[in-house]
Amino acid sequence: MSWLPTWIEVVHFSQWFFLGYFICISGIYLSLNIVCAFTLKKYMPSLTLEGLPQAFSGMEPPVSIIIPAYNESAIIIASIHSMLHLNYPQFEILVVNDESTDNTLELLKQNLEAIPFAEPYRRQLETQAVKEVYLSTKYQNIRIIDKESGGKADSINVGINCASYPLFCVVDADSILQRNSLKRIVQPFLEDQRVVAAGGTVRIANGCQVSGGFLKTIGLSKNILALVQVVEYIRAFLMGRVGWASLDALLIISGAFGVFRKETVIEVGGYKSGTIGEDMELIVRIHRYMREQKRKYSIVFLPDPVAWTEVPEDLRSLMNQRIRWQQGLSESLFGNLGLMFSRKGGTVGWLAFPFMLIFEWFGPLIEVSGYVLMVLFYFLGYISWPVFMVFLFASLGLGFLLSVSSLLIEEVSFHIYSRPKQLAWLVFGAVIDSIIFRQINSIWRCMGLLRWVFRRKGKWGKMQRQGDWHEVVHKVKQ
Amino acid sequence: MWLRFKNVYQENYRKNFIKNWQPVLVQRALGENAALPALDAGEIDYFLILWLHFQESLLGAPREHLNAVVHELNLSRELKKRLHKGSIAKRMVAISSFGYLRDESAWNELVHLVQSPALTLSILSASALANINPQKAAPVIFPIIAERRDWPAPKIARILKESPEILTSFLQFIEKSLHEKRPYLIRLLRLLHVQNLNQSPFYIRDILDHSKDSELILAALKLVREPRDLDLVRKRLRDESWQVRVQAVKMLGQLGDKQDVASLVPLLSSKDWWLRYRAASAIKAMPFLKKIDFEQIKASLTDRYALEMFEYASAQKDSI
Repeated sequence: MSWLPTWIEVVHFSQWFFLGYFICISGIYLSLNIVCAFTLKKYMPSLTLEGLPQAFSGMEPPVSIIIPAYNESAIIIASIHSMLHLNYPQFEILVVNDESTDNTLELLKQNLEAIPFAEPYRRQLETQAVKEVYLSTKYQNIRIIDKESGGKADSINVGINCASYPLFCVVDADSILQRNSLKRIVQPFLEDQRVVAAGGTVRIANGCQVSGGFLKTIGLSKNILALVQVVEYIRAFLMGRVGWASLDALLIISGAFGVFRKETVIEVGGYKSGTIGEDMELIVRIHRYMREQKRKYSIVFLPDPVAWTEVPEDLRSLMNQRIRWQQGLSESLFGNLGLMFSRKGGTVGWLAFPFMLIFEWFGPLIEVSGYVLMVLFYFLGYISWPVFMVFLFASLGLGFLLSVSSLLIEEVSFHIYSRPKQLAWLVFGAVIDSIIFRQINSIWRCMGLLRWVFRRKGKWGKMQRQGDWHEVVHKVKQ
Repeated sequence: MWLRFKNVYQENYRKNFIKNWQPVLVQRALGENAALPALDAGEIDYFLILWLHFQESLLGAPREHLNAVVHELNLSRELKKRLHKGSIAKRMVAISSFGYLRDESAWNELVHLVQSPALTLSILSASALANINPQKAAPVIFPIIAERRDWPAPKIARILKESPEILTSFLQFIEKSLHEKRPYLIRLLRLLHVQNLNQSPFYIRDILDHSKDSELILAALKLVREPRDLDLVRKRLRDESWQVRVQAVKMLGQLGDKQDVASLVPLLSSKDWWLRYRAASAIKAMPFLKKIDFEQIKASLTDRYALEMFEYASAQKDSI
């Protein structure tokens, strides 16, 4: 059996493989960081006059805002209030209740003074049955659609069927939109007919104060898990999304805030019911479909339109969320494998898709096995202390560098967290992210992979809501 | 850390600047004679942004009073310098300022900038030129409007809304462009949709009467403003394209008379959802129809889909 590698050969191969992997992934992320820095350098001056009061041109297309809701009684009314304050000439709000088991529907009907409304349902996408449509008598642009249970994707599809306007915006029920976010995010659709979808930045509301649908103060949560997620979101949105979008290879628009051309979404078959990562799956499918049809299109990302959302502050909710995200990623990639290395794949098919598959889908497994094996080899005496330290430095140090460079980009561009104490707190978050959170997250993502392998069907994600950033929430509860 | 200190310092400086200057500019805008604080070279950016903020929010005489402030501070030369040098942000501010100042001294520079490949600089320059002298600006910017597809339509629409003179010149420009190729004309007609026109532009009649291009017809239908064009609209109720039929129905809802009700009712049974919806909404929008007329129409409907749509449109109208 001389062809079998010796233990020492396995150790040598593993060392170089894992080290190479960490250098590769960090190198790609650093490159994205640089692309993002240049993109923002070009983008920021265009915002110089954006703060000035400007009249609408009259050409802004009306937008249907779709809010899928399942057991959202704690927060739904406050979210709707924030939408009502949007600085946009014409929009309708469609709240789709997916057979909530709490009093979401009653709360909506009561607060919005809604009455049953004879709406002929236009079935452009296959969905679960609609039980009743209600029209708010208080705000004429709000409708509540009560439907049979079918999940988030199905609820959005119902919203699309009921939408009266050519563009629709999907907003999570627990999100707060900034006043000018809709105006900003619709801009690319006006400037370029090829734009089929646009995403905006999602920031974390934990630690902020919201009153009457308005964000009063921007703050950071004292909860360490929320803090780490702030760093993670800055990195993902400012570095990841801006970077990929500038390469014309954006593979995800967050379900918490995105605007779509209704016609295109209907053409590709709408959101895929029963999926967990319905937001990413739709974008990957749009890419695949448009490229197969040889159609010109564009999917854009704008770093400044902001939606604020609540993130989990307890380990269990966070773990469940990350497991679901990994399942969603798997569904999105494996359901659209045809996009990878296709003849017309472009940067999406040849760069972003393989990157996602190798580093985001399979990456957690490599990372976790890397940590386990290195520790094991060290204790078995197969590798030396310096090699162990190099590995540790490469994996932890480069992760920290990435987070800090994203914070730097945030500091020179949007500068949202303005107090020095907040900056120090964010750097601390970046340290925790690199030395603990990333590793734990990789384990959760491996669990997500396993769940996907065993094909567990997607349901609504449940999160232990804090809601302490919402003054309105308490009023509603009382 | 250095960046943070720099940002905090600049932000505090800006706040302090606004605190000192805002009341002065308010007084000056109202025509009062308030003394101007000293303006350091490093404060010019803050001043111009604040000044533009006022200009964007006000109309008429206060704008002129604020222009006097810029002249008093002798900023024209500095602004002109910024048109050539400096960051894009500084150039943008300078271009907009010249527009509000209606200062023709930078005309040539702005004409040069309007042809710049940089989108923001070119469109802002076009807007400034239109503000300074609409008549003189028209032959410079209109051919570029037609050619440059990267100029966002809402921004051009805003330029056209700036003054009645520029809109009149634009209508004349379209008249001369009638023989140009199709996408060019459609783009120009679409820019008129959001303008306040009291009359239908005469050239849409020829399009509505003879054209077979559905996109062009659609663009023309949206410009119908007078009942005398109704026969041309009615003709389009039988158009091959459902989008054209929908738009024709919509126009009849706005301008139609009693005889149009009879042509709209059968459309409530159309197999196309949007046509049914628009027909129902158009009937409900007709101001001369009374409750009893609606009841009679409802009673005459035998088709389930027509009835459903009519009830939906009624519920929608009643809720307003």
